[in-house]
Amino acid sequence: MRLSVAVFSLCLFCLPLCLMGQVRKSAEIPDTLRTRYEKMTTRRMERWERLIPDHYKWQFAGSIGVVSIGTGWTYGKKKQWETDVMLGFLPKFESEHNKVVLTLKQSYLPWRLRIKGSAWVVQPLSCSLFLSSVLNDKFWTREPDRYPKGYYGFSTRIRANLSLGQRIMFDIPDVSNWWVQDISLYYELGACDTDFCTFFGDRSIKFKEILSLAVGLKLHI
Amino acid sequence: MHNVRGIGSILLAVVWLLQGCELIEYHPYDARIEGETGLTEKNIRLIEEKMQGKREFRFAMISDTQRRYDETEDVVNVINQRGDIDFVLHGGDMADFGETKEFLWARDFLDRLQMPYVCLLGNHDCLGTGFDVYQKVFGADNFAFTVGNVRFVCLNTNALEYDYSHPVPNFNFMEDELTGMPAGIEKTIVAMHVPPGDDEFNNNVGRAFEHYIVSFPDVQFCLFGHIHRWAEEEYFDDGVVYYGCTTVGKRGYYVITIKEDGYEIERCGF
Repeated sequence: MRLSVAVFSLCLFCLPLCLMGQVRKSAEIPDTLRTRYEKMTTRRMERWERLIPDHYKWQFAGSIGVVSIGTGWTYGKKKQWETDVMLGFLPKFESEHNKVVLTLKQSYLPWRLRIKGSAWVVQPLSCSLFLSSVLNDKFWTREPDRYPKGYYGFSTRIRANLSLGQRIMFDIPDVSNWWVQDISLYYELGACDTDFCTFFGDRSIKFKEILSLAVGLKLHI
Repeated sequence: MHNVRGIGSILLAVVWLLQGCELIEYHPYDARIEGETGLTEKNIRLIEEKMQGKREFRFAMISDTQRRYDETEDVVNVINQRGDIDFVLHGGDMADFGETKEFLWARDFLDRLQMPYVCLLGNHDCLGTGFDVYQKVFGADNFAFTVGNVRFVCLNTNALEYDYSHPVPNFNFMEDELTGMPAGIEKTIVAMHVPPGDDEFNNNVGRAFEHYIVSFPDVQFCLFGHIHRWAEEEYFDDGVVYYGCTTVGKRGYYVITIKEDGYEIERCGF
């Protein structure tokens, strides 16, 4: 045990030395190796840079709080994918405490249609799947131990939602004077797992009664 | 900057317009209540006024209407059409997930009853912010009312939901009810959602609970819901019968007739 720890520590200690050695070597030997090293570091930086969020969102309603702010990534060949992390504020209304709702959201926007000769782009469809979690002790992911196993069989804390929506985007023509590439205004209509449960088990509840509307703004930087 | 301000004010206007819209839900458990509240108190007043001085009457009991809005709608129509029901007692579990809109849906379906109704608190009604919403829309979890010469004592027995943070069953309430029993009361009917012996009930105090029950004036019987089937049990071998009402999902409800000398209890289908 001790031996392996010693070997591991030695390796950790030697690793930077080896790397330093390489750096020194690459500095001495010109061009080809240096370029390769640079390429490697550039590639490495690019990979890490991808983790920097490239858009911000502000949303009203949509079952994840009254107002939520979020950040995330727009990606894909046609920038058709979007992943968001959002925090929503939910005032207490008639309950005891104010709450914060954390949301993880994945969206797919298959089309971007530019209105001819203008900076406006219509995204006629957005499909989103998101999980929201109420950050409050009264809600549970798994039933507390006091309940017999599978007593309720669902989580009060986590809700899975599906939503469809549309967007209109202003693709800023001369970005250099701005601090964002484009601004979109969106709306989404969705429902959550428990809503679908109720809706499919019952004719008296109309589909529009389970729908929840969200309106939001996206800033793509 | 000008544009940003423009967009900002448009958004605020949109939000302001949407506020009253039915499509707006901040969260399934947002506890945002629109429409009528404080129904237990309002309906108790109606029942007490309507039934003053009566010694014989008939009421219906329905229970466990969660996610069974079709059947709830049907049973409401059936009870309205009978024309012989003075008031309705709901045995609890209006909601399944404890979500705010479930309570509002239940309220809106039950509001179509032509007679007053009261709703007990069910265990499902306690989930998430359910208990807060129940208290606002309906009222206290323990309540009592007078129908002619009969006192109806309605109790919260969903002990498992509270983890000792709230007294269930509430012996103080029962004690106060005993000592402050209004004049002219000759009989008592006790209603609850969860019966003694159930996993949800605080069985450690089962006998103490029954001790209080039998101290009420001439207890006729107890009523409960929760188990989703008909039941007729004497849990403590003391002559107090507990009648279990099935769920509306199984298309059943009780019609209970209180007479000068006894009562009739009928299991009805619809």
